[in-house]
Amino acid sequence: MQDRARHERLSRRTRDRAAVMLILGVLLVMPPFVGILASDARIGSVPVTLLALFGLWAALIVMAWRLSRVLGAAPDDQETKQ
Amino acid sequence: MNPQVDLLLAICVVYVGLLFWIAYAVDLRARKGRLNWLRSPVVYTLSISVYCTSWTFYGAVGSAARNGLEFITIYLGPTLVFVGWWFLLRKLVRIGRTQRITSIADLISSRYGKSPSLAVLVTLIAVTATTPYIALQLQSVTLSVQAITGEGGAATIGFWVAAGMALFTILFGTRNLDANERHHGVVAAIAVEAIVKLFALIAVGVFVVWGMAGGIGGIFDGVETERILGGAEVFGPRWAAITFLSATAIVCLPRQFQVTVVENIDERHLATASWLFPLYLFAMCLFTVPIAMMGLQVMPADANPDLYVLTLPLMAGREDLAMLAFIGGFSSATSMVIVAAIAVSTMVSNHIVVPVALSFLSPGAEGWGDLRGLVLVARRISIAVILGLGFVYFQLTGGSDALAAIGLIAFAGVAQFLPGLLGGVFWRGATRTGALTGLAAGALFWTYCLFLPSFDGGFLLSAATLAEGPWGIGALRPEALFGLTGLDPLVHALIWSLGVNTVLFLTVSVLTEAGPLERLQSAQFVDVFRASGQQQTRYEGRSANPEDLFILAQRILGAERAQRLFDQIARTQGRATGLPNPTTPMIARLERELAGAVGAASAHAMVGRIAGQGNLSMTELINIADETQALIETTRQLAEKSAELERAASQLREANERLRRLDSQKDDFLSQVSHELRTPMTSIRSFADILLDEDGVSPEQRARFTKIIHTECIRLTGLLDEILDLSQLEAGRHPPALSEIDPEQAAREAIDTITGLAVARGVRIEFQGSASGPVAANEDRLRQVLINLLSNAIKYNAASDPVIEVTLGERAGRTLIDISDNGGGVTADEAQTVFDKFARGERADRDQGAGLGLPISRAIMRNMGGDLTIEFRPDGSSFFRARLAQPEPAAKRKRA
Repeated sequence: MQDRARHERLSRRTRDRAAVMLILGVLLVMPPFVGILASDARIGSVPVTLLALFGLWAALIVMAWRLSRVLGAAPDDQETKQ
Repeated sequence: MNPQVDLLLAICVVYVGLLFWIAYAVDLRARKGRLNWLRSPVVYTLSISVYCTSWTFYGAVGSAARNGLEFITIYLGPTLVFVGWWFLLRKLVRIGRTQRITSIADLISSRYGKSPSLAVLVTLIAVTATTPYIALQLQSVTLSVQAITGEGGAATIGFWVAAGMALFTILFGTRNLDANERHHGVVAAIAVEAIVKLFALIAVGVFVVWGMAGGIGGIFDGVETERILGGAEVFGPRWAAITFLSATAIVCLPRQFQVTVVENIDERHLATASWLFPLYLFAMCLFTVPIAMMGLQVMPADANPDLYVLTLPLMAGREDLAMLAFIGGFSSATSMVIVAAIAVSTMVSNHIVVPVALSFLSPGAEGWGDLRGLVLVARRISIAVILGLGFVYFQLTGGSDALAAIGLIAFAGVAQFLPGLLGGVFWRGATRTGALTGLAAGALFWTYCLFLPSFDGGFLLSAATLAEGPWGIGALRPEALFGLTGLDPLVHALIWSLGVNTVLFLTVSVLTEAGPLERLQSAQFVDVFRASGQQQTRYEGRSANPEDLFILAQRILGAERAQRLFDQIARTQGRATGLPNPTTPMIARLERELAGAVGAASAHAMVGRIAGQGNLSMTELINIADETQALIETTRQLAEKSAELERAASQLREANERLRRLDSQKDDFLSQVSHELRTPMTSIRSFADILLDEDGVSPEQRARFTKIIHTECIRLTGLLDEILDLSQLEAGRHPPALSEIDPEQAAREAIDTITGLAVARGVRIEFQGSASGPVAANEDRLRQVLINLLSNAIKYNAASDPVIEVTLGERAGRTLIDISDNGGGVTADEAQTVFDKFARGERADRDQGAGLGLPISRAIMRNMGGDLTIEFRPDGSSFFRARLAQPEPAAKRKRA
């Protein structure tokens, strides 16, 4: 029983994290926040804006990858048993 | 002919042949149930990458060259949707699996009560929005062919490309009518194409960066940052609009819905796709900016940026790489066309052709012919028509527009599905009318503000109308509707179409009420994770003929699958042989299976035709239920009346029985009375006869006989008095007047009255006990009863020392006078009859009364609200007990 409660608490936390990540992602790639990235600066010869945008994108992918390992483990186990 | 053209043609044919072989082999494996690696989430993810069409392959670079970073928005939107897969995609996939959804039109129509009109509208919008998208693929392939061969008319190439793709898609997608519209072979081929296009693009990118520019520095150093990013305005409203549009498109595009929801074989694959698909997009975009920047630097100013992927290797003399790029672009185009055409043709056949065919056919399965064949032909024709439309669009727009612009028109078109889709999946209050109104209005605004203007005056709207509005009305200018100016045309069209769509959808939904089937479906969709998905439309199963259902299933699913399905259902019903019973679950299951092939609305209509009377709607079902309820009520009332009648009849029977008994008692009584009267009468008559014969009678004898006659007459009179008294008492015609009397006094007076007789017979009478209060009785009648009991006790007492005990007591609110004697009382047998008229105890002889004393006594007691009974002691001896009513406390009861 305790394991189950712990499992449910963890999966709830994971889902909350997924939601927060999504909200953050939407906020960051949408104007006006994405405008913060606009800059003339370059690192080496590559514009910072380009790097930042692809960096943000990559970060989203990495977070999605980490969360998917938890969320995807047993999708039937989450909402249906609440 | 140019040898280049021959080579390209050969490459295309070989490549397509390869794809076809893959699809065929996989289908073969799938049919044998050996899916293995096909069940991999990677294959699923790669099939979703059908999102990356030639628009991505060629157009992204063109867009980056023209508008800087804006192209990324096309991939950021889908990334967000997949990253947040848990919230929307998972639900869609679950709904798709439980409801056996075949297309996005099917999903929306199914959600809103399996509405055929909604399905048709969604299908029409999908066809319209897919047309420019297919034109886009034709254009990119045409351009790439022209770029490599350097010759050929766009129309000719475009036509042959369209025709080839139509043939290809028909061969691919409509070979069979599969369960749930899954195409394992197609999915595998698309996955291979996904790898080919990614590989080709990265190969070109690597060559451009390190082969041509000599490294990253060579790409960016010579270009202004402003040029790379696309100006200061890049992160403006258009950025937001396109991100939103692309996020919408990844869900709403018919082909994306097909690969993501319909072709999904395992919900958990979404978890992998949630990061792998964004990663794929990321990889596809990695070299977009470098290729675009390189093209801008080295290509002539009039070169088409959309073709940099192809022309850069060509310029560098790497024809092999250019050929790879061509194959990559060709892959992107074919995969998109195949999946889009399959998805849209499924919608057209399921939601337009089949319902139309159904309405022309007679009800019942016999008249339907081979529906399977009809559906397949409808799909093949639809594919040809869709590609034909794409070709016409390509011709009308002149094939000169930037690729990205055309793609966005399609995105905005399918975005109209969004309010109805999201509302349907998350909001139970969304109604069919709301969805229909919103969708229709949104589509209208999209057509007017974006689709028609995309022809640049070449179709329906003239250039003058576009510039000044119809009939010169400025407020109606398609790209500045109602004075909304200063916006990008895409943003403008999006605000109007999606804004009106959403507002109308919400408003009308709130104002209208959902039908019963809609409410049922809304619950199944919104609460899909809670519902088992088993509950479905209910039919009155008994009206369905299982043979008709079987014929229908054969027509749609094919003989073998239908047989398998029916066998399976029959087994679950516990039948070893024969067709299953058309129970409600059986019909619901059949409808779900058919929905997997022809869509929910059509399956509903078909099964409804057989299972019910015509299209049995939920409303009709509820009406039937109401009627049934009314019938049940009527039956109940009838049953009640019948029971009442039964009761009355039984009462009558009882009364009749009682009457018969009474009649027989009366006869007995009369015969007894006659007998009792006859004895003294006979005696009187015979003495009278003797007296008449004066000669033989002495004066002494005459006096004796006269005395006997006199005595007998007195007896006769007494008897008649008693009979009269008894009949009056029993009829209750003259109830005795009651008053409050002291029972002790009444008992003592009765004892005093009888003392003379008692003394004469040597009987001792003892009195004991007392009463707490008066009783309600008639004094004379009570005394009559007590005297009668006492005299009986005296007369019939055969004991040597006869004693009579009179006991006064009280029990349960009643005053009791018990009269017992030591003469043995009456036996239990005698007790049965002692109160009958003319009954006498064994110890009585003829002279001791007519046997009416006890019946009269009891009648008197009952008339006074009391009773007279025989009680038995544990030792078997008996005594008489007179129960007396106590007076009512409030009013003294006076009975006249």
